[in-house]
Amino acid sequence: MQNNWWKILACILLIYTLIVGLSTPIEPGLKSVSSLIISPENTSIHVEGYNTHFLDQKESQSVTLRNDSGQWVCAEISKVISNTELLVEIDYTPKVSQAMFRLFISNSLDGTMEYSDMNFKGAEVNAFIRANSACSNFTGYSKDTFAFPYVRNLYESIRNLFFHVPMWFAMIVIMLLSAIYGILYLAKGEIKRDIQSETAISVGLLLAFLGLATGSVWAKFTWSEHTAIWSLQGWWVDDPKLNGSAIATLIYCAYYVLKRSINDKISAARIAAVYNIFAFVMFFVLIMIYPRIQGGLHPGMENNPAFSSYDLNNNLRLVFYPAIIGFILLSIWIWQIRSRIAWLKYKREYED
Amino acid sequence: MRTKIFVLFTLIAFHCRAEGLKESIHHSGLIWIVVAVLMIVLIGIFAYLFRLEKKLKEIEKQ
Repeated sequence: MQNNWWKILACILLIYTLIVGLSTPIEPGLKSVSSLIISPENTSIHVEGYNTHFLDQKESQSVTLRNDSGQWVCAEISKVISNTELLVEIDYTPKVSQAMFRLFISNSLDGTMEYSDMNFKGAEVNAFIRANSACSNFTGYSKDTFAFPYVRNLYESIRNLFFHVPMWFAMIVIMLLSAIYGILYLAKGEIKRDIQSETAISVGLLLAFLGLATGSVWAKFTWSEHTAIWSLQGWWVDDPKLNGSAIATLIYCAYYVLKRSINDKISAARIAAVYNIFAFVMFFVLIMIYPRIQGGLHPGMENNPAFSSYDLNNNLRLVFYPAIIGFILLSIWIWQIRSRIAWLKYKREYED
Repeated sequence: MRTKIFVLFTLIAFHCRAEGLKESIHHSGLIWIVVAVLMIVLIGIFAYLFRLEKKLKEIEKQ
């Protein structure tokens, strides 16, 4: 039991991930508006919400528009259709210094929700600031219940963060262990270390394929939302992190090809161990450094460290970090069993 | 000719069905994508464990 505490920890962490990761609600947010352009002829906007309570919270509800220069445009709710649908009537302002506005709807249960990129058409830009103080009919509420952030296009699938991303973290740890055991083999020459190194790559490849498959499904319905469901388009997106990890996966597949192609067991093990070290360096560059230089669809690109406060809020972190540790421990466990079986097989073959 | 028409109609029906499916996936807030991803992870790990057991059985037989 003493040596098994980390396996129990892995179980607890993964059960925690499943329960909290799947049962926590998503924050209410605004899903879509009927028009992004506001003109004198078009001041009535139909707003669709997600997880909102427009009808239940009718009394405390108010709406306004604000731009980055801190200017306000007043508006009122003309009709509440359902809990997720309402009509907003905007008091059209022809004179604002910046035409891009954000729509805010607030009530006491949902808090303040916003929708960006509302554009005033025909507005006289830089002419005159109409309202620089707050609209008197707007009250902003804040929400303090435990929920995951609302991200447009992601919705509930933000939970995939706990099942897709840990695959890659676990793969990095497993491949690092593989490289370390390869170095240990080169240093000491014990064949057991070589077997452990090889089986680690086997588990790492499982994680790589799972990461690619889960990422593909997630991308098809979020990044490639516009593609038809039956078409082959959209399963593989043009993203450096995806292509980099696919190349890294192929590099590790080539490890097996290389090892099996050499007849002499000892030299095969030695060459494979050296290849393994280079493969890990390439893997790290392809998955962590190259996408950051290149930019792309994944969060944390353009020289920013991934999982900054912008991409990952504290509520997500509370499940995300346990999920990473849980999946790392699970894959180490599988690796141990895998290498013990391989070692047993090796001993049987050479002792008999 | 009749088979061609049949295939065409099947494709159209499949297209409509698939687009309806896509709509319902989006309507339910993409929760089915989370289900699909979890299924992939679990099936992948279980398949690996079954393969592992097969290897163990081979050694036991020897």
